[in-house]
Amino acid sequence: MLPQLLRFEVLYQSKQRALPIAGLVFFCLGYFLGKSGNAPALVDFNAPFQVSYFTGNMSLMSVFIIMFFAVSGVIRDSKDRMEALIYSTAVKKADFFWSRFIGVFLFSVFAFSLFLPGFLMGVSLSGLDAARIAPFQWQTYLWPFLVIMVPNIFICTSVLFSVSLLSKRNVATYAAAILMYLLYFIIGIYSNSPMFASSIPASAEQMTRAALADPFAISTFFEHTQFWTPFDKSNLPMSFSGNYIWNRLLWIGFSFVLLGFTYRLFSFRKTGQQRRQKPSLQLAQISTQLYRSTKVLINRRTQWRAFGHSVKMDIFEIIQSLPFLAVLFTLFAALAFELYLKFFAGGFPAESWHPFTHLVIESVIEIIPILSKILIVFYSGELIWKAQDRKFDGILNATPTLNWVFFLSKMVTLTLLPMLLITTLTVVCIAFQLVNGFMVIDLKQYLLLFYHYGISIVTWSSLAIFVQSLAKHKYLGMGLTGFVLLALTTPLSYHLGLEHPMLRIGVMPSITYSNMAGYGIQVSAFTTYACYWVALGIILALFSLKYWNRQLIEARRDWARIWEGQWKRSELLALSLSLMGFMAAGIVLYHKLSTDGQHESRAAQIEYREQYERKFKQYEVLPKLTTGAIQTEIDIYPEDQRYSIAAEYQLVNRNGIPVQQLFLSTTKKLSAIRLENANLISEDTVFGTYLFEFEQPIQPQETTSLRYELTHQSLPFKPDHSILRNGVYLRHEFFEPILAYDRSRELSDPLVRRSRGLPDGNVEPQEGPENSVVPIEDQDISFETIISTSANQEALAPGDLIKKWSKDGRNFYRYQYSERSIAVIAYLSAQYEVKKHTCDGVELKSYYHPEHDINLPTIEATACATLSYGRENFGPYPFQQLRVAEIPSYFPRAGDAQPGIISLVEDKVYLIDIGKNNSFNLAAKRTAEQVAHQWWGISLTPKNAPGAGFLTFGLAKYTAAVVLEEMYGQGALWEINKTANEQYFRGRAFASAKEPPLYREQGKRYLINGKSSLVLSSLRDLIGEEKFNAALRKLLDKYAPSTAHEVHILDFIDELYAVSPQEHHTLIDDWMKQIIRYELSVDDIQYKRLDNGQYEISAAIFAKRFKTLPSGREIAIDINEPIKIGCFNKHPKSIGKTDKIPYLETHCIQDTLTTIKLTLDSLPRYITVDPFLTRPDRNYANNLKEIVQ
Amino acid sequence: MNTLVLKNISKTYANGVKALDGINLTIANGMFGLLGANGAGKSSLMRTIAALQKPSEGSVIFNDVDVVKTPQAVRIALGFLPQEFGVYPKISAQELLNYLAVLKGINNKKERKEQVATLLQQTNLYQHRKKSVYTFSGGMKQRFGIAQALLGNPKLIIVDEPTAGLDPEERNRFLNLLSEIGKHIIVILSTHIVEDVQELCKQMAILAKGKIIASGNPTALVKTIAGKVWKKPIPKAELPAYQEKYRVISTHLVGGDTLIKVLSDSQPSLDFETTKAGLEDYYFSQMHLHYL
Repeated sequence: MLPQLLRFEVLYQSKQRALPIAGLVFFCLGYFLGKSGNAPALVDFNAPFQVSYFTGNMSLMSVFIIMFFAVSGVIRDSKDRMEALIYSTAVKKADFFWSRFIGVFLFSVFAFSLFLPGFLMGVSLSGLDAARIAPFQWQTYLWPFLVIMVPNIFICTSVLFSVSLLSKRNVATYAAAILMYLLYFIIGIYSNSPMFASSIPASAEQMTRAALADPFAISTFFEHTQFWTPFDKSNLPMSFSGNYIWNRLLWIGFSFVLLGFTYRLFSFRKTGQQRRQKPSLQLAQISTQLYRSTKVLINRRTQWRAFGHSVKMDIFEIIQSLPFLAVLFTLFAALAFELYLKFFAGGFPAESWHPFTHLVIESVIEIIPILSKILIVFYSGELIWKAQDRKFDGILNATPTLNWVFFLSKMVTLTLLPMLLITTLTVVCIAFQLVNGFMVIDLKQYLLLFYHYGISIVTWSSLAIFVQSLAKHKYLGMGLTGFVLLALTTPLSYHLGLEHPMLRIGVMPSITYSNMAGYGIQVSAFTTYACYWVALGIILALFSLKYWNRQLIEARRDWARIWEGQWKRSELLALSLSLMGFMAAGIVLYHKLSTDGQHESRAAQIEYREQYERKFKQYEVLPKLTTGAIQTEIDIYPEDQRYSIAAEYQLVNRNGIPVQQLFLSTTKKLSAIRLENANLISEDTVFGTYLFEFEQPIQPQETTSLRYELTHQSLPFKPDHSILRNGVYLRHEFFEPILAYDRSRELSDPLVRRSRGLPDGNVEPQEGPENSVVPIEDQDISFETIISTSANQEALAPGDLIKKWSKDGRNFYRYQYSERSIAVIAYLSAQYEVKKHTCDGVELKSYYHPEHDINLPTIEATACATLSYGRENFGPYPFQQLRVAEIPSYFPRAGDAQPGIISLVEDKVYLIDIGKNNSFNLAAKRTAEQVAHQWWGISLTPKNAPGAGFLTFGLAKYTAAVVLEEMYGQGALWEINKTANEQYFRGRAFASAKEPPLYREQGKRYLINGKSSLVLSSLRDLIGEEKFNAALRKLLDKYAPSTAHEVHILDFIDELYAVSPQEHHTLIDDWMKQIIRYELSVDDIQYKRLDNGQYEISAAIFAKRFKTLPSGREIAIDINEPIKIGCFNKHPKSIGKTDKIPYLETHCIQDTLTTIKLTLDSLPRYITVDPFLTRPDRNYANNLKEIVQ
Repeated sequence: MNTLVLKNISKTYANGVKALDGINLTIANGMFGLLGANGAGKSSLMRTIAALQKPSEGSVIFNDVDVVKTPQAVRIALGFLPQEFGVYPKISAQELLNYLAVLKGINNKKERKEQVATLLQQTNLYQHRKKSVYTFSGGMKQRFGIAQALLGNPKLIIVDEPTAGLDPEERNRFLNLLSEIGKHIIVILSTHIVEDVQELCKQMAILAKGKIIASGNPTALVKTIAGKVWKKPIPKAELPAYQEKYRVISTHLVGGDTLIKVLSDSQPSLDFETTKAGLEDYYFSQMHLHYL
């Protein structure tokens, strides 16, 4: 019987248009993805990694196909009223059940599997860089088909098939589909899938849990490949191992159990109708009452009352419906996860916050637009077609309720649904704050959410209703609305070239908030956007209202009817007013966006960069002048978000040849520029370039002077977060002209360069000035400034404060370098609270936002400890003061340092919850690093060459580590190195270029922040802290006094050689000049109690080293080096200052397997190899093993 | 006194079907029966009167106001029971009635509550008032439909096939209720069940293929065929021959035999017996006339 039934299923389903359409859609998706060349840098476009990645993500889309097949395969009987006929035949339950299930499953597999040939074809016909297309291999496509595609479809089919078979309702099936999708969504947020870029990286345990819990195995994929380098991604085959096996077993097992349950519960012969059968009618009781009519009165108030009741009834029904509950459930789950992660778990790098209102909001709000869109798409269809679908329209339309009442009530209901989500979010967040004992709740910020996010919601609702009335068909309308929202309001719009903000319907500028600086967007800009979108929303709504005439139901086809339909005067008035508003706001918006220039399309940016290079590349060869001295006068007007600066530079010719011409590139428009003894030959206002020719060439060692002036204001449509109302942080790079051709403006993508006909060139991806780690100047300068700000603010600049005065209601300050120092200059201004201390004769001044004093004691203590450590071990501190100032959260890093001053970012230092961990403190770590820059970077400024980042940031991190170890104990080291380890391995997995050895680091974050920390810890252990510091001190003694920046990382390595025995030099080279990772672990612990009460413990130490060859391939190499082995009574991460360590000694490890034997007085709890994680090791968790008693 | 005047109503649907064809009727207070076979255009006519659709031609005048131009004029006074209707799940009968009462303009909350309660009692749904209408059986749902049509102060009640799905007792009660109301207002009863009209209506019309083929007082109409209806039991096989020879207006099965009725001014043959003409006979005779 089964074969015949299956044959019928095939016949039936193949007659559904959905099958060819779905197959075609997946084929095209594959084709376009294959053609798009969408792959991380250095990874083959058709690598097994890529194909599996796309297949995994596409299986999310397959849910909707499966949903469709499940509905048509299962619910068709009840929908088409065939149930009674089918169920009264002789068909057996098992045959029926399995034929339907297999039908749905096979068709879904068929439709989805066309993705793979599509992808194959796309790649082959793409014309992409042939060097990055690997030869065709069966396994590349077969693996994702068998391990990802077929199981995923099986799992989804089981769930959706069961739901539709048991519920016999479309809506329940849709809800189940949405729920599956949301389940993945939650796991994605939780496991930090790269698809949810905002989330913070997850820990290894979280990754494992997510890898198992994800029904689509997408998280499993990420877990599986998280440490793959670009080389691995290109070359390694996918393997069905580890959590892949467990995930598949778990979920396929679950599916079978679910199917088994469904099979048992599904009662074949009962139709869904029976449940509704009510007990037979009671005998009629003759009513004694006579019919009496009741007074009616139709007036305006009646209509509004009808409106109110309609909204109430729709809302009441929707909040009980499954899809809404699924969305609400997602919201709760997301809130729980995000709040837990950001405020307790302290994801990466152990950063938890105090629950300040803006931080609570910021950590959860992103889910609101996504869920709003889901609600609007789904319920616009449901609401609009509700009366018709339920055949209630006859009764409703005969009532004297006016058209607009029905229309407006739908509109308002649709808008209220997302608002309900915001309300829920607000309540949960406030409760969270209160439960955590945080009483300073900023209600205004919560209330503003309704405005900030409400504009989008209103616009999208109008759009959805408009589309519904155009489409005349519920599902078509839902699909169209979903498509429009996807194409215009998600990042997809950038890929489609629909990136202009005026096209991205309902998308508002993103809202940022800082306790210091307030909202990041200016009211006028936000209001303009709001007017623009709301006006458009009203226009769409009015047209929909006209179209929505209950009398014209049968004539809907006639679009022109709208114009015939009588527009009432009030409607015409509203239409013309909103048209005018839309036009006016549109004109303002367009004008502002193009003149203020916030929006520039990608194409325009590429064009700009290309033209810059073509026009001015010729000046790159000109000999450069260097800056010897800078003198500035700067007036800051925080209330206007404006500053004016007049600067005078002394320029020196340090070349061996005379300088004839000077080329300048500016980023901000100058109001005046004058170069001594030189004539302006040409000026380009588009690119902001100047070319001067000297009357007399500047001879070597001769000087000249450059003077320029400029005024800059943060514009509403181009907000400049360096100049805020409170919390100005203005680095020189933000406005300073570059005295040369600016190479960072060149196009860096080789593909784009080729398409533009530009030479390939050795263009390294450049980091912007904000992120550059080393000053461009190669000499120290002298610096002096007079800075003024408004009366209620305090202004800061590098150097020592010489004088302070007030004039004309403004505060003036003069700062000056006491000796020549680096040309890294920033100006600060804010309403600061100030605290003074003395720290070994150096004045320590804290400048902070009044409410932000929670971590102040930590910050001050750390700054002081770092100063002392530095002065004792490295060399003198060259200033009389150290100022520590808070700056707003717009700065991209945790802090910044200039001569005599460090800046720490509010939400990265001042607002973080340092928690109850007594062995580590993140605020302390970040403070110590910045203070350490006073030596590393400022006193000792490296030459602008590879390795400079190591000397600046690496050594600062080293200093922070030893200071924290001194303050908190060795547990701090574990935390610091754990973070460094993760940063290193994650960074190299997503690197855009081949990994260089550490001493050749080219500003790569994962090397200077990650690997350098580890290597420096290892070096300290190898050489000994005292000797190591002596080497550093020698480096400082030698190079710090010179004003030229000459020290190179090889000089540092030479100093290391000098303080270490010859036999360690190979190891130092391995760490600094090779790419080597370790796999260390402990296993096989045995112990026995000796007669004297002592314990003899033995353990196996596994140690392996892997070297990455220049090709990227990794090979195993020998090991022979001293590594610490320790026994602990508590986890190494919680070792505090006073904790005793039973055993901690360096062992020379020479073999892959070393068995050690120890005799101790008592039995420790853990044995570890490399307890403080000084070696780069992906799996650091198995360095440690608990002794089971 | 309420009046409803239909002037030359025609309706052609977008697919070309001409559902109504030049209908002229004048209806005053009292029960008005609209009789017609399925597909005769009854529902189209009802929907046109209820201003749910516009006629292609002609006008509907209710109490001197043109409803086509001002649909609100009829809506404020209308109680409408569509032939087929559904309801929203999760809403109880009482809540749904209350909602409709709001829409119909019963502004006073207390009055609204009272009328809803009364109507629920009169339709014998009071003990089910807290249940969702969605779960009601066919008869209960139909009674709910009647209750909602009576909400407020209707001056024109249109009921399209109201007795479908009601058991005999319910049907009785319902028709009594309608006739009681129908003393003071217009009640249009559209049906294909002749007895309903016969029992209740002072005026009636017969609709076929979108046209009014007869109208007037039922008793008067029946009088026109009094003494002209003859009956005779025959074997079934002979039916075609009789149909050929006489104007057979109806056939019934009685105890296995086929009883035919024939319209004829005089006794067709000796074996035919005379029988008392009823409205049904009139209806069939008209249909027979019209469809031949």
